[in-house]
Amino acid sequence: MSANEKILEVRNLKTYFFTNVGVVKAVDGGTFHLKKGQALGIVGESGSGKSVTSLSILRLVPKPAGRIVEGEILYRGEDLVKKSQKEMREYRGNRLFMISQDPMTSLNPVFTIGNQIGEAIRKRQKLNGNDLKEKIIEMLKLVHIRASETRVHAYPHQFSGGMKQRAMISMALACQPEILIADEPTTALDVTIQAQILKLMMEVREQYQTSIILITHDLGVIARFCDYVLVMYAGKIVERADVKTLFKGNRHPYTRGLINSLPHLGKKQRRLETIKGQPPDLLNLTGGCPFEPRCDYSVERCSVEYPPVESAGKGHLLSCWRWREI
Amino acid sequence: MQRYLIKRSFQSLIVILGITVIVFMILHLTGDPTDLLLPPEAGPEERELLRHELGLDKPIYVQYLEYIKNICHGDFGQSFRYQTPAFSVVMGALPATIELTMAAMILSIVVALPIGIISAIRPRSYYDTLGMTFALLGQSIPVYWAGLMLILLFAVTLGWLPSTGRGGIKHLILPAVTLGMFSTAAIARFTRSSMIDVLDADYIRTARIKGLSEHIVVLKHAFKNASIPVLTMTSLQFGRMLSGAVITETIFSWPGVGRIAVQAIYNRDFPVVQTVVLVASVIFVGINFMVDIIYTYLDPRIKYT
Repeated sequence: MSANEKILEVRNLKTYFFTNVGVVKAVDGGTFHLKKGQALGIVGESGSGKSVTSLSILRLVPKPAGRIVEGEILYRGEDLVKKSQKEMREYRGNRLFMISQDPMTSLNPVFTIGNQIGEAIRKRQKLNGNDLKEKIIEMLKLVHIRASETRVHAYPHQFSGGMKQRAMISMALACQPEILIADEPTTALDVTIQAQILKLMMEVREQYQTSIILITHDLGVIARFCDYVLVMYAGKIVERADVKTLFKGNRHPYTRGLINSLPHLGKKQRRLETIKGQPPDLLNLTGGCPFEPRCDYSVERCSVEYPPVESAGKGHLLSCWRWREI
Repeated sequence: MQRYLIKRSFQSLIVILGITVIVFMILHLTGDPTDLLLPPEAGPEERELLRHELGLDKPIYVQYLEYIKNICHGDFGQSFRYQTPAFSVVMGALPATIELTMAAMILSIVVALPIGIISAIRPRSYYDTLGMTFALLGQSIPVYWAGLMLILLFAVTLGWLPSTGRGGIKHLILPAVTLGMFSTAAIARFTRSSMIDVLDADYIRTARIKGLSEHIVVLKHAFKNASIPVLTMTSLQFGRMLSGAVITETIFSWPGVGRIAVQAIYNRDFPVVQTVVLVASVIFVGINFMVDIIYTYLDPRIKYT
């Protein structure tokens, strides 16, 4: 397989939630792709559709309210949207794996860490007894868990937050997925542990050529880790670019707002910059650009018509009526 | 753990002692047993004599202390009615009650768990609606009415099953269904709500992300977590069954402790009633104790000190 092959291609993905009070368009027309070994970042505020995008790829959108209503998710040319849940089991684990936001709750409290990692290993290799145990210990060592021989028998509540997230990563390693989705893997951890976990994920990526989708609202993490970035707002991808372009040559007012709100080292600031206003209510979206009420550049057209996706350079796509002037 | 066991045993003992006090007091409020033991034409002297013989003329606290002292020596008193030790009267009937209670319990669990789990996997589906309607009926139909209806249908009309007495498995079916009905419904509903809670948890999603089969996700990952509240519920149902046995055994003339208890209460046969309650409470306290220990195996986070 060539390094440039698209291993995942998402086209016009629409995942909606049908609730009692109305339809929430959590993801509304997501199109992007992921190449072998690439690290794709997805940024956006809470509720912008980042997590729903990743759950859609795994086909684990919360039922019965959530549903993929349109679009294709092509994994090596196979459309995952058309697969049954039973068929999806062949893709989950071995090919797609997700590390979720909260390591505290993502491990089962009543089974040992070893048992839970063992399940992931057995998905790939039929090992039993001592062979399995040795493999589990090996996995724990890979994620730098000390005294792994005894930790195998520990329960999640005996692990710290960072150790739990390592255990999750070791599960991912055991599965050796082609695509690893990390949904805010460091949000619930403190800063020093964050750095360790990210370093570990970089090791995984280099060693196994794993493609990574990293969901975060931390632009610092994006800058260090990702090759290519999607910026999401209210269920739509508003700008996508390689990481350098995103930070230096961004054209979407929302992206600009996000980057401006970062604190600058060595620059005296009384207050951090913010994006004024609130994220929109996804139940009451108009036909226009959802960012329009908060946008400094908005014109009349913005509130009535959603801007088309346009190219602003190689691999740099965005949706804004006024990007040429910004 | 050892310290906990000792502490708990001591607490259990206090609970049982408390029960004996309450039962003793309530029984003596029901009236004078000599009214029933002597023929109506008996005079006051005869009555006094019998009262003295049975020890009923002493102050009530003395009677109670003597009762406790005797229990410590293994003497539960003589049945007023049968003139045999009350303990052997109760023990003679206990196997029948245990047989009935166990049958009802096993039936409840075997029926309730699948109903609860399937309803939880597909909430609001036809299975769920059917299962929960069944559970609602099970919890709202009075035991005595259900028992009579079952007799009417299966014993009288269809003639498939015997309506009274103890014998083989055929005799056991109707009383066990009657006794287990309420618990089945309660456990099914509880299993459903407990499973629905757990199935929403992040670790269930993790299990699915690993690509595990739905069987393992539901029966291993979800059920073990959901089983803790279900176990609590089930152990409480044991207590309810012990008391439910009184009605069920009377309807089906089942020769168990419940029926003995009812007769003993009618006859004001104090020693027998006291022994029945004591035995029942020891069993109930014992089951609760056991359940507390089982928790530690189900959930490693539970540690007793």
